[in-house]
Amino acid sequence: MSAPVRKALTPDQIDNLGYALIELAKELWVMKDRQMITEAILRQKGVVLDLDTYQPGPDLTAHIAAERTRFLNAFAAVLFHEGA
Amino acid sequence: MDIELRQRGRASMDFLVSFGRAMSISEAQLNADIARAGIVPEDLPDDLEELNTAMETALADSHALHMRDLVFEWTSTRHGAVAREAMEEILDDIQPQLRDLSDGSTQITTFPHFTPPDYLEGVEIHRTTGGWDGHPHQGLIHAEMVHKRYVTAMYGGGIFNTRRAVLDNLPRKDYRRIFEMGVSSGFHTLGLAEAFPQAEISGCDVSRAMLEQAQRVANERQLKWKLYVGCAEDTRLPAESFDLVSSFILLHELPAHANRAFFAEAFRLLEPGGAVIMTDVPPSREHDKLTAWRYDRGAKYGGEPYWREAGLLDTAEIARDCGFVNVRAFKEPTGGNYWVTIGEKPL
Repeated sequence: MSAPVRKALTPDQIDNLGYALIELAKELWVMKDRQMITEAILRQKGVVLDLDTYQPGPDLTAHIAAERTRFLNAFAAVLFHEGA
Repeated sequence: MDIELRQRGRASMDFLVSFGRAMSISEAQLNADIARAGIVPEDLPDDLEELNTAMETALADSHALHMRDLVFEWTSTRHGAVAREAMEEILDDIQPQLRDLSDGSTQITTFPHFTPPDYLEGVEIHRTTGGWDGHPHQGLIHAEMVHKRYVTAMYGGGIFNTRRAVLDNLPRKDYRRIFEMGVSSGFHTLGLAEAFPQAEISGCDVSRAMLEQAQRVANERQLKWKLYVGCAEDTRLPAESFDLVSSFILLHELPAHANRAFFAEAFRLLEPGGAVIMTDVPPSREHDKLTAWRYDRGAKYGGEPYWREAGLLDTAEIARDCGFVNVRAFKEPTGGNYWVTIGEKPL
């Protein structure tokens, strides 16, 4: 006999889930951004510089912005997809 | 100020901007839902509360509206904290710069009679935790992070260009003693200084943290402003001591009685022949009903507690009631969504 199907969340918990999801997305983006910078530094210098204070130049800034847009557009597409 | 953020702060601020832009794909979905619900704008109620009820009822099943609410709620409650965290990462690094900019010709004085107004008690404008004095460097955070890195990126530089451009609507070009009501972090004050470089500029704000940022803005440019911590409706400065009184996007943050008091105090402060210019968001009657609904709803949940009340006022009528003549109220012609009210004190 299969276990009963249940709904874990109540309607008034959905907003909390949503906020947590967006917060998670932000943190994930911070990590993705950091990773790209790490790779750039390694490529350029062969050594690890101070990631906290590294200021990306115009080309890397543009690359990061394009990746951020792609990442968030994909996120938005899921969020606003009806019937998900 | 030239500020370089650390990686975490920079990436978080960039996220806020890109997140807001990405979510704009829902605009078309919401418009489609409005059309599908058979909403006819002309048939909607005039009363904003009834309008909200009618729209929320009609759109109860709109996936786009509910998700936009979620996104808006997160953004409105978190953008200030993200900005604060980004600034706190570098505060130690920029302390010498802050100290240098607090030392200059522009100084801050508190009106001896100042007490914070009741209508701001417990109010967190724009859902800023603790209000404008909720962080020792709230002015810096608001100006350098929220304004320059978030609002400008989301809405374009024009939102700040208007702070200067709106002054071209004034009847004279030779104002010499200017008082600004609600200086905040000094963006409009800088516009006044640029438009009238020969003028002595004074202004007040209820937030010292905001004025400290205005002070940096002035000192960085060797400008000499007199800044006061105090309420603009009760300055107790000498009557007829200014020839121009100005405010920029302040009135909608105030209840109706404070709006009227601002105009009355402006009249008292002005010498005969002087002018008042108050620039703010357009009144709700200037919008079509769907736009009025969007603004009203955004304000309700965005930390604009007096938006609806202020938006129902007729600022031209208030100005005339206070004694101003040649009163004009109009949408700022150079762009943006601004409503300008100008009046002159009779000779």
